[in-house]
This record gives sequence, C-alpha cells and structure tokens, in this order.
Amino acid sequence: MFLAGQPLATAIAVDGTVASPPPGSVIFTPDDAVRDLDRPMKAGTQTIAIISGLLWIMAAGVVASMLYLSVTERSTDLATSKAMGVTNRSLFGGLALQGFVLALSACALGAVLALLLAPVFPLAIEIPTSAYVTLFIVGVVVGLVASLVGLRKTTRVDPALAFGS
Amino acid sequence: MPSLALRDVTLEYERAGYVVRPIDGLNLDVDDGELVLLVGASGCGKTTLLSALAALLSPARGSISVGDVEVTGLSGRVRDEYRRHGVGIVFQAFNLLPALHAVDNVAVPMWNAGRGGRMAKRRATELLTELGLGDRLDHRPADLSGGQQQRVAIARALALDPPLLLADEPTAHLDADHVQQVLQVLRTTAQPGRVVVVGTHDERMLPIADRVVELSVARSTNVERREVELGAGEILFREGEPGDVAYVVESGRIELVRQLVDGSEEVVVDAGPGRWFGELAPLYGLPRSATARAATPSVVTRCSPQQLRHLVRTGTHAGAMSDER
Repeated sequence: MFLAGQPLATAIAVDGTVASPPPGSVIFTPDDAVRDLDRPMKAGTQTIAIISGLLWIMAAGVVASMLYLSVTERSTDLATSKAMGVTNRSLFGGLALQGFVLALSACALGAVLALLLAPVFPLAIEIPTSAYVTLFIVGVVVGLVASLVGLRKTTRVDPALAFGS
Repeated sequence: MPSLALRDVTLEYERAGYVVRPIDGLNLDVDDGELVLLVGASGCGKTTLLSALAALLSPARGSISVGDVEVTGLSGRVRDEYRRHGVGIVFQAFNLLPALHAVDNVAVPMWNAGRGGRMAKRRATELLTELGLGDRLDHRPADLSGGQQQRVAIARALALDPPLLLADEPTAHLDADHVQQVLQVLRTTAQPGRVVVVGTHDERMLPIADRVVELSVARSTNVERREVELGAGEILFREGEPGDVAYVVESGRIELVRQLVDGSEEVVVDAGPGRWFGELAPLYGLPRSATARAATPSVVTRCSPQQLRHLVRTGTHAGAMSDER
C-alpha cells in the first residue's frame, strides 16, 4: 500500500519528521528538494548566463564604439576646447558622463521592455527587484569602462588642429 | 617693455615625414594696445606663428613673451592657465559648438574657468549685446550668418578679457557687409591692456592695422646674374632661409636635401649640369623648403626667376625642371 503497488519509488513526500529513513534513501528538506528539481535545468540556465555575458560584452562594445565615433567626429570641437585651456581631465570627465548617461538610458529602456514583455512570454518569468539593481550597477560600470576607449583618442587630439579646420 | 616680444623665434612642424620650418629667426616687438597684421602668402607661417603665440606649438628656438609671461616652454597646468586667461582665439572657421546657443558658446570659457553659470551668462549676454547680437542670444550657430558667427567667436575670445587676442583669417568666410562689421569690432578690441594679432590675406584689413608684419620673403627684382663656385659639401642655401634667386647648374652636381623628422636627411633632387632649382621661393615669397649642397666641386649661375625664364625660353638651358619642392 505504501508504494501503491509499484516496485520502485524515487521520492516520498512526508508531512512531519522522519525518525529513521529506509535504507538507501536520503532525507531532503523542502529547500533541498527545490535545488534538486533545478538540476535538470542546469545546462539551460548556464547557457542563458553565457548568452547574458556575451550580450554585456556586446553592449560594452556598442557603447565604446559610439563614444569613439563621437570623439572622432568632434575632433575639431575637442581641439578648440583644448586651445581654450580645457584640460584633458575635464574632457575625459565629459566623455565618461556621456558613457554613463548612455548606459543608464539603455538600462532604463531594457528594464521597461522587460516589464512589458515578461507577461507576453509563454513561460512564467519572474524578475526579482535585485535583477534591476544589478542591471543598473553593471550597466553603469560597462558604460564607464567603455568610455576609456575614447580617453586615448581625446588625449591625442592636437589643439593646433583648431586652426586647421 | 613691449606687451608682446618675439626673440629669434624659429618654428617647425612635421609634414609627410619632413620637417617644415616656415618661420626662422623672427624678431618682433608689439606695444600695448596695438593691432598687428601678419600678412603673406599661404604657407609663409601666419597660422603657425599664431599657434605658437597661443602656446599650442613650442618654438624650436627663441622665446615668446606676452607681458610678464614667458610663453616658450609652458607646460601642464601653467600652459592650460595661459590658454584660458592669457589668450583669446578667433578661428577662421569660427569653431563654435553647434549644439549650444550663442550665449552658451560665449559662456564656455567662463564655465571652464570656474565662473558661476549665472555670472557667465550675464557676461556673455553683455558681450553679445555690445557686438550687436542682443537679439540672437538663443540662436544656434547654424541659425546665424557668417558675420554673426564670427562676432560670437570674437565675444567668446574676449569672454575672460585676455591681454592677447589672436585672429586667424577672420574675414575669410565673410561677405563685404560682414567684413566691415568684423573690422570695426577688431579695431575696437585693440585697446590699452590688450594686443590684437591677426593673420590674414585680406588687404582690406591693412587700414585698421597699427603695424603690418610681412612674413613672405621680399622679392628682388634686380638680381645680378653671376656664377658661383662651390667646393664639395659646401652649402648654397639652407632650408627655411628666405630665397630671392634661382640657380642653374653649370658643372658638377648639387644635391637638394630635406631634413626628416628623425633628424636624418633625404636627397630629394640630384641636379647635374643644365638643371635649375630654387625658383619657387622667390616666385611665391616662401622660405626655402630644402637645403642645396654641392655633392662635388660645382659651378652654378645665380639669377632671378625672370632671368631663368628667359634662359629656358631661349634654349640656353634646356634641362628638366628641378626645384627643391
């Protein structure tokens, strides 16, 4: 009766405390059981984590490219600023601010899209608040790191170029 | 004591791997309140000299002082400080920031110098109003005419009341009506406490100048044609020197060499008998762009470009054209 006539049972749910489990069996708490149920999905979650990492790298590349192009297109403005005594530090501060705002805007857009699209997915998707916090922290760090690409370009702009434009 | 003093100033820059020396040994004294015009053909060094006065380019030799400030050799924060407060620059292409309104463009140097936003805007408004642009404060550069943009650029250069104002071809992009406005503004900015230096091709500016500095080489119209004997290795003329005569090789070989950025030399022309060189410097009023040196004991004929043309036309010398350029 205990095994409902079956020769084998893989799990037995017990309401209460087990004094001594049958030989060869292991006691799982409810948390242990949830972790054990996640095991078959491990490969899937790892794949999503890898894709997520690659997307962060791509995002950093896109932000860096935009800032690099911005610096390249505004060489004359940068040269003029330098000719007027604006320091490299100030110029880079402006560039970092641009990267920060760009990344922050992208994160905000991503968060709004996630909120709008999550209910539409066929699977139930739960986005914890911590995910949004992490998104903004990582996004800002990525934006600032990406702005370093423009740093070298900015410092190498010759202020005499302002006369040549 | 002059407000602006240049002593034996030599300026060099790099172009395509070669050292170009448009200014060689220039001396100049400018008194307080004067407006100085730098005139000369393209390539004679007007803009290069303005760059050096703005501490954007360090002289290879000599010294530049503005008031008590020795500009030569400034670096780091002191140089940035000089660029902020010691000099205002009006660029040929205006170089206004396209995204900012006129009043904000003028306020930029003040923000950069740490002046408060409200104070900077008030000063910018005053300056633009003085220059007749009180009704254009909130216009972006693209919405302003060339003359208006140039006046905004002048206002920006004057924002921190610098003792030295530099203007590079300030009338180059302006029509006749706007030229008159800009000339009046530049003339009134040259006042006690400030020196104005303008690099220009525009002869309409000559009447407003207190002093005109001709940077091109004086052309000699009366050159005695004669032969010059050179020993092997002897220098006929050096790169950067003024040149008012051309040469024809009668015998021997003359090498025209240019200095490379790494300090070495490159022979650009090896001229044998019948070939001529050196005519571009006197024709266009430019300094020599190469050094002429005898590779072997040589004889050359020294003549004016006009005499050289006559020699070529009459077939006296039919050698291929060879110049130091």
